[in-house]
Amino acid sequence: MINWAAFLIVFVTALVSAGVVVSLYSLGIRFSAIPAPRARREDGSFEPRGEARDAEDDGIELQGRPRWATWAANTCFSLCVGAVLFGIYLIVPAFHR
Amino acid sequence: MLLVIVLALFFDFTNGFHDTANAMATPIATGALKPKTAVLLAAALNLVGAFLSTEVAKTISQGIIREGDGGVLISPEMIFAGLIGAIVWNMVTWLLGLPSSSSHALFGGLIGAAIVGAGISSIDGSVLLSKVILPALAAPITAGIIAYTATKLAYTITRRNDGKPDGRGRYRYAQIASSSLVALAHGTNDAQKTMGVITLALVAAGAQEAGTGPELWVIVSCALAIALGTYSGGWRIIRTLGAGLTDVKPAQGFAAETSTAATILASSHLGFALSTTQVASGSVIGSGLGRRGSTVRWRTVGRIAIGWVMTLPAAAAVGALAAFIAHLGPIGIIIDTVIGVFVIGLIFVLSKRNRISSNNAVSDVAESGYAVRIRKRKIRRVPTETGTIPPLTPVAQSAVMHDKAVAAVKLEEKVEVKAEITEAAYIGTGTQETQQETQTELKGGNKE
Repeated sequence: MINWAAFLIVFVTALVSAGVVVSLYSLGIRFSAIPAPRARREDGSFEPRGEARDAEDDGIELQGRPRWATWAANTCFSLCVGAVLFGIYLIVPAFHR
Repeated sequence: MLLVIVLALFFDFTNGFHDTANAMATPIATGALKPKTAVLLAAALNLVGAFLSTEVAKTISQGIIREGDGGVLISPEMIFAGLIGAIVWNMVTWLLGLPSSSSHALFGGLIGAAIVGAGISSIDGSVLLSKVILPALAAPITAGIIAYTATKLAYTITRRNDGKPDGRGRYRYAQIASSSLVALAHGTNDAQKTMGVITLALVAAGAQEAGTGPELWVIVSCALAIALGTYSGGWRIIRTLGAGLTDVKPAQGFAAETSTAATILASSHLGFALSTTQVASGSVIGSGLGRRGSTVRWRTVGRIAIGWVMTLPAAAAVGALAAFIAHLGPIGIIIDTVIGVFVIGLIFVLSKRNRISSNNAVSDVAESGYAVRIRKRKIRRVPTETGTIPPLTPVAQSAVMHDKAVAAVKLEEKVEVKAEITEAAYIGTGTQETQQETQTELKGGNKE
């Protein structure tokens, strides 16, 4: 009959790994979407915000953002690259046999 | 013998062709990759993947059909009949645009042929149940739940409440990576099946010693066949997966492909084999459920589910019939071949009546080339207009609708109508359903 233990292991592993990779990439996107502080005008008020965002397809301003945010984003993206490399490692049997 | 090899390679071709969608439907749908680039990438990765490992080839067909000592002797005729069953069923599901599992078709065909050739006792029912049927139920559900969770995570993490750009378009880059992984994994698996079958046939014919791996020419030709099949692209199935089940956005596409890759890798490494096709379809459905404001077209889901249930018995039936005829001797084989070629030809002729190629598979991307003036989101309405899920609509109807949509796009290009008028035009030409969709979209905008 069906090997439930094996199935459960596969399910949990896949769930966790997909979750981690997606979270990492999402965090990377989130960090890189942290905007630059708004510039102050001479009278002390803030520059108005740019145009409203367009659902999914919008550019991110990368200039003038806090340095830690860019750093965090890059870390997340690098970890994702690592995950992809690990995926390739798993696919190619020559690497792990 | 030669015929078996040719058939096996053709099966490999249909397999590649059938399964391009698994990896490449969502990146094509979101515009992460151009359709041609996507299939080229998938083909290259499949080619590479096929050379990477021959492990699967060695284990194929062991188990379900009792072979070797005390089992049945597998004759080339049986493999031949099984392949006919698998190919015919693959072609039928392709015509209907259904993503069904090629491995199930292959198993089905071989099982059918084995029953006729050696009796029902040659089938190990419990192995069949635990290795094929239950995983087939588990795969889409597993992948669906994983993709649902992943999609939720992606949207929760990137959600902003201050109206600033959230950068979700950037998921497109990640999609390329995740779907490439799926394509590579597919190559290491599926080309192997054909190698296994050809090797099995060679062994059965006494041309190769039992217990040895596939020979080099077998590996090369299988790799090429699957890559060619992948490159020619099963546009019908790409359309079903990329646009038929749900409207895929980059974040969803990435979540779905990552879930597919994770599930397949986990299943192949932790010893619980799941079908790529079923995992991929489940992921797309799951990601559709995971995004607020997106809808899953359950009718399409139902059709696919029926296709899956049918795959094994239908391929088995064709395989059994072919095996029955093949037992008449050489004449039977010739009759089989003639009928097989005729059926395949017929399916090709039928497919011409409702042609789906890279140009209209997931129309937004393909047509954006000459409809640049229209904003991206609006172009995305076109696939719905070409007949929401064209494989579902009657052939002629969808063809007519498609022509209309293309005409509309071309017209706009000429007159350079402004965006507002374009919207009006779309509302005007759409079907009732699309009209409503378009209107809600225009009014409410995207909810996420």
